[in-house]
Amino acid sequence: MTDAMTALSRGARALFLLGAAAFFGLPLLWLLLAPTRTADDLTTGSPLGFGSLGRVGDAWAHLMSYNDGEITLWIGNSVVYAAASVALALLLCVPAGYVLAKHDFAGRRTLLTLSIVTMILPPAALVLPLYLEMSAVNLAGTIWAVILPLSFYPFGVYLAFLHFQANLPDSLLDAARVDGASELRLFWSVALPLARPAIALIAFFGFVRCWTDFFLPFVMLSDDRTFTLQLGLMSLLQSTGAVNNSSGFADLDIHQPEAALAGLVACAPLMIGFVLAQRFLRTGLLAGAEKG
Amino acid sequence: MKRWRAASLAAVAALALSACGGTGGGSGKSGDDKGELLVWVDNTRTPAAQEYKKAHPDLKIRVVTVPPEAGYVPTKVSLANRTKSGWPDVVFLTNPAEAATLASDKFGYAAPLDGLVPKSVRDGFAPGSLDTCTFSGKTYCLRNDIAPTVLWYDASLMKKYGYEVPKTWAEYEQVGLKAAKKHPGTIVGAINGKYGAGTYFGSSGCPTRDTLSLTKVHIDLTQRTCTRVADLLQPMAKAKAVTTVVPTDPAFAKLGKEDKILMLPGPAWFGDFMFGPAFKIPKGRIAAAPMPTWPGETTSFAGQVGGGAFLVSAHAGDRTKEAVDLVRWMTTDVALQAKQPTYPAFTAAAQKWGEAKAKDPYYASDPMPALTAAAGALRPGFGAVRFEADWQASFNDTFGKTADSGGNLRKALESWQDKLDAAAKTGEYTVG
Amino acid sequence: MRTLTPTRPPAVETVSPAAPRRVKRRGRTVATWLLVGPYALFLAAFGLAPAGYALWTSFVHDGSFSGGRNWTAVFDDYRLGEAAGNVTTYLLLWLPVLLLTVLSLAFTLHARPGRATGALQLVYYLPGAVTGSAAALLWLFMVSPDSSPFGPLLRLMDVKTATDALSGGSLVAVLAVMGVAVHAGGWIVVLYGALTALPKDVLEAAQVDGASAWRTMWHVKLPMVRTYVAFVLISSFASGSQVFVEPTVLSTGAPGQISPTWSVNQLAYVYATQDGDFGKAAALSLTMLAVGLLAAWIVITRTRMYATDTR
Repeated sequence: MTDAMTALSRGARALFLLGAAAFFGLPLLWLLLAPTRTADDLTTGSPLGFGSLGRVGDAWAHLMSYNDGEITLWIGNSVVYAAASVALALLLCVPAGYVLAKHDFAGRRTLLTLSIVTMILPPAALVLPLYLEMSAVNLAGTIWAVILPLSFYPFGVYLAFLHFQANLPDSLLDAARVDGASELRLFWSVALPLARPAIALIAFFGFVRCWTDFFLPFVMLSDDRTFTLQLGLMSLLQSTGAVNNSSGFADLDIHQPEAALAGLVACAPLMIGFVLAQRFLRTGLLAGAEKG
Repeated sequence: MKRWRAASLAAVAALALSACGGTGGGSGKSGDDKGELLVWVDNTRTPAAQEYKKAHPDLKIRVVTVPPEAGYVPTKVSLANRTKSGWPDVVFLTNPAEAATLASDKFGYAAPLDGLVPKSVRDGFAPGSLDTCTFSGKTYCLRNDIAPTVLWYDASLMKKYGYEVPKTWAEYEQVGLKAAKKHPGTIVGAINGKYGAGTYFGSSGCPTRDTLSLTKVHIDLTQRTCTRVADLLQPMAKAKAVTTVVPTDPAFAKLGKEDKILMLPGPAWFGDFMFGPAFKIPKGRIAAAPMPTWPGETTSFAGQVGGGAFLVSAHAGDRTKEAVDLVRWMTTDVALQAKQPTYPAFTAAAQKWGEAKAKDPYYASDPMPALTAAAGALRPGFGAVRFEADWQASFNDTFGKTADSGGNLRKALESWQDKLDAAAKTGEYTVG
Repeated sequence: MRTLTPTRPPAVETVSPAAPRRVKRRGRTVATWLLVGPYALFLAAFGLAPAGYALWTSFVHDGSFSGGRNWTAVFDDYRLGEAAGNVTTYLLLWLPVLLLTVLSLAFTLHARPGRATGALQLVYYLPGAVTGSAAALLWLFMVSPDSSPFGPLLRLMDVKTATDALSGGSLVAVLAVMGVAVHAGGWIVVLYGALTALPKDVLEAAQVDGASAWRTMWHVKLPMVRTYVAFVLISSFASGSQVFVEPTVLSTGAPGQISPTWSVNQLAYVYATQDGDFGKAAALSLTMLAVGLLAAWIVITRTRMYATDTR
């Protein structure tokens, strides 16, 4: 391959990656700039204009004027719900994924199949059953009605299953068996150390799911003080007409820039989670490489 | 044998795990403590409900702010119906059409208020405003605010172009066609979704959703009251004097900024919440006139686009009296209603509300005479239906689409009729 | 019952060399169920039980068994045909574009990992992080030519207002683009992660062989991550045929513009929420599930996704 051709293919590659970055990144750039601008400027100014940083502070103050700063309560709720469900989901998914990938037992295929079934079961079918289930054990309306169903995460099991299937050689396990390691020990000291990338992915996607889930809190929670950030923000933005002027009429100063800021607050944890997961993913892979 | 032991061990472990979770619960409270009045209102109504709670320290009241999301209240009520617990005693509906769902036999949630609220009080509401709440002669809700339509116009532009504010729809059409020709891009109306259907068809009295009972609805788009709307809009749509762009579209701000909105028949709340905040029209320009009159009529009948309502639960039991009292206070207290953002349904309160509005420097002239007249002349018949969403969507699909492509609007009424029939049938109505 | 060979297609069975795993020991069974048991329990409680109950409710009307009444009512609903048509068009547009985007970006990133790789992945993921009402605001402005950074592009496609973009044939295209923007990032991360975890020696061997980057991708990397691609395909098909968030989000921003029953899943939601008719909601949901499962079954049998052997 000549140098010119390499340069050309490099250029094409960079162009492709950056073009995609523009497509995916522009919406977020707009959202990032929106809180600095006024509502008027958003509709009539240039699409990617910049207002002033002072506006961001004002916008936050306006958001806090809703129900005595209830938004902070929702953030706290969301953190608790998400942390608990993700922890529980990891406890369930990683061992299950390992066993499904590496052990042949009666019921294995059934479990895998049923996981797929429940993974793609439309939530509308679950409104009533889950609610009845939760109210039968007196948990409807409590945080457990959200945490427990969310910690059942078949998608996570699949991620773990695929990971162990592809990256944990049987030879490694058999060698440890020859050394007399018990099956639990095997999981603990052979599989788990290799599972860091899978854990990072499951934790991240599980977190995203819990943080953004709308349907379960919508069905289960009926007191605004127990709301998640997603549910609360919907309530806030709809009742102030911030997203569209016909949805609600309030004297609060909450308009499009405030809605954009609220949206940024809601997605900031996801971005942080992404960066953390990425770091974990990379170190995990290095560790895996040394062992393998 | 062995597998059983293993499985049961796993089961025990898992049970212990979930039991640990279970014992930690209880941080949330179930909502149906005995004797506690559970009140569901949207955020705008929350301070008032809290105020009521403070004024009645002897009552146990819990105020919950609910999202004004379509379907939220029906979902919660139908789940409560299944578990036979957790019903809110008082509910505020941001979309009064949901009253038709909540009052239906299947839901059995809304309590008829006829025996609970004296007729003298009910008569204090704007005439016809309780039609939305009334099925087979029984009143199932009280209106909080109403959204009668008026003819909003840009007084400065009208003066600049030398037009008179139209009194009849024929004049409206003339002005519209003239303006669209002489000042390209100028619009005098919007025909999209509930705005188009509620404003034009609503004020004409076209039976698109006339409820006869909870299970019977009158829809007949072959009536003169319907075809005359199609005839009116046909040339205007062709000349682009009316737009199919929805007023909540950011593009409407461009129309406002470029002085293209000459007139816009629309609900009362357009004045405070659309012209300034959304269309960016500066103060001192917008004014309101009564809706133009239809041929053969002298009254300026108004359509309706929006408003809210309060419901009392049929399951409130011994809390019914308190629940009704709260709803009465919320909807009829003059001082309270005078402060609220949109046009009060209670006539005495609307007068007080209008005192401030009359002095609002945003308007070119006092909009209250037109608004008061509109509230007093709601076109009868326009009812709450369970297919409200389809009513809007089907209008866009048929009438709106045809207006956009320059097709025959009378023909479009036929296809709208078909869709409405189907929607009503799916909503478990018989069409009569 | 105690056979160790699970019901697997023979084609798969023959390639399974896993002799050591055939030795059944008590300790192993106990350990197996200790590890998978808790998950199985949650699967029963929050997956199977609700699904079973949903199946039951789909045959119940007003508290008594009604045979297929809910099912026929659903299939008679005039909205279902339109919704199914919409979803089919959406899938035809969205699924190929999504797969192409995900595969091409993941492989291009992996062809020469650099310092920017992580940052680029984050950027690709960003649109998916914005959800709910904020997403409604964001996308309404994105499709409004006057206030969108994509304005010139929209005007090029003869879209003058958001109402234009959200009505008629352009709506499905807008939804597909939005769907790609929202979903691609997550899959790129998954696939890139899978690629990075591949054994280095195989890839190096391919390079020594002088295979071009394209050939390496097509003949070496792609087959090695086939189970992941299969997983992407199954999940995406299911989520695409159950598309709900995108049309709902857009109609929050522009109410009355998009039919609340634009997609099949939305129709199921309307049954469950606005109508309080859980029987019909269940019947329609289970129909969607069946469609998703059919696709999953095809993909699984074609890719030997369940095989326990390691390559």
